[in-house]
Amino acid sequence: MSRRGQSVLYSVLLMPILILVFALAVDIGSLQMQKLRLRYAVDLATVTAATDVDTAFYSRTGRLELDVATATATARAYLLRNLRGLADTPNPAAIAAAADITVVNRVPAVDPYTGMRLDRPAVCARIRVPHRFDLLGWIGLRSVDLTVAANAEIRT
Amino acid sequence: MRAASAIRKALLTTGISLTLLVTTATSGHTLDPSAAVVTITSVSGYAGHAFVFAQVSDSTLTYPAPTGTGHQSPFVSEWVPEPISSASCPWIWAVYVFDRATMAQINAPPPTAPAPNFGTTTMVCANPSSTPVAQPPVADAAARLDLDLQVSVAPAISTAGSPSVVSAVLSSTLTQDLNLYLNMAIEDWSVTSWTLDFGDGQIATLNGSIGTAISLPHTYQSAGRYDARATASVSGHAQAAAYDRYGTVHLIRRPFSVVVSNDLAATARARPSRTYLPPQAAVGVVPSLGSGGGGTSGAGFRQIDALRGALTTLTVRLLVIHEAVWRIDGSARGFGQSRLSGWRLDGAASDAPAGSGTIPGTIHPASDPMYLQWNAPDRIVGAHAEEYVVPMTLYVDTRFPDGHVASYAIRSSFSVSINFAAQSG
Repeated sequence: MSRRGQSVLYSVLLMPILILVFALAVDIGSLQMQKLRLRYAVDLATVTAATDVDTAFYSRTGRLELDVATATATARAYLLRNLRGLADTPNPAAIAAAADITVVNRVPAVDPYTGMRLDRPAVCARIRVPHRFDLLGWIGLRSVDLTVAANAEIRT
Repeated sequence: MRAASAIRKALLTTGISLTLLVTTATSGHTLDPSAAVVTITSVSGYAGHAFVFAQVSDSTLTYPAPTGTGHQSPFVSEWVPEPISSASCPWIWAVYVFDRATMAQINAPPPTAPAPNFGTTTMVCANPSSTPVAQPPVADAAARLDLDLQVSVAPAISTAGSPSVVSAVLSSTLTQDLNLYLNMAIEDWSVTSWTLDFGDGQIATLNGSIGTAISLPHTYQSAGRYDARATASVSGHAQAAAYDRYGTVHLIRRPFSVVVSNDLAATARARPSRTYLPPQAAVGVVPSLGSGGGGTSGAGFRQIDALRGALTTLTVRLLVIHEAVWRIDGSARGFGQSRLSGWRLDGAASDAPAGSGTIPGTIHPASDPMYLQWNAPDRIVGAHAEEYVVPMTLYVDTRFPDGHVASYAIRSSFSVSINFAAQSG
């Protein structure tokens, strides 16, 4: 009798801890997956924008640079397109519109978002995306802001 | 019978007289060679001067200028028979001589002339054996044609290989003797042929009626002094005229020919030493992406960036470092103007896909773009990027201020940096 009661007592005491560990595991995994998807979205947007070569400047100088206006617009447009494809991303248009995008033509330079050294003209982008936890909200931890940055050097 | 015989004798006498009259009238149009002698002396000259001297001599049968037209005299006359009471000369010819141009009488007697005054100082007894009355006999008349030939070369000192002009001018002085009794005239003369011996083995001959001046261009190919000689062949006629007592003109027409020649030392100096120094030039390229041309303006670059794996269109430019120099006898006289006429890609083929890139070894017009592609980035040798070097041959045409055009093949190259590749972080 006392052993059965003791087991019930253990179960009652350990169950919340187990549930908390489970919730933590689920939400952290979800967070990592979302961050990885966002990374892909930003990365591909910068890679696409890095093909916007300033052809007039190239013919005029023989040097390769990115067309700042075109590359910025391309990065933002492809960022919106990529974010829309992510199911758990709230309000992609607002995120894309608020994205930080910098075209660096004077090299060597430093990526303003990642601190990475740039030896060639590049497109640098950074987004901030709120991530809502599913289970950790039980303990009051409802959401966090994910910041994802990427850059791509000029290419075809 | 006697009457008939008298009539036959009268008719025979009249016939003989008419026959003699007709014979005299027809034979009067030729000068009796035994009475008048025409001599023509043509003296050719080879030092710039020649002359023709024509002379007619007649000491017995000369009379003043004839009546009417159709002869060569500048005078005309009117012959009027006048009876006079003289045993030796029962009648005379009163000859009134007028200047043909003005028709003014030139042999009017002075007012104080003794009688009988027929209004003329020229009277001829109608006797074939007598000389003209009151006029001194004229034994001869002469005409002279002097020819002078001048040769010139312009410029006086020419340059071997450059054209010069050899000219010859024939001037003449003609003296005619046209008096009341005998005329000697030189007429119808002209240059029938010109010969220009330039002195360097080349001779030009012009036949036909050319005129009294000639100019021919000629180029002395080598330096030296040349004896440029001009020769004019002149032909014409000398015509003598004498008049008999009946006013009939008698002509003797003799052809003549004469050669006048002269020379001039033509100097051709040595051709100046002309040297044409080629331009110092290098290739420059104007890049653009893709195969759609573009980049056709601008100066061109010796070193360019290029995207890895991208077909790059390159417009070839000529970068003149030092323009070609034109020198005469060692001193610079001007600069040439160089332009690119064509180019050739040397070395190995680029990484462009088959059919889209420029093939090495083919000469292209200057306006053709060059298509190249590099699929690998610059090699890193000793921690330094080693750029691609693209060798080329430029075909350059240079026009110099004297019109000379030279073509040059200039080897050059440009470099390409392929250090661009996608990277993210």
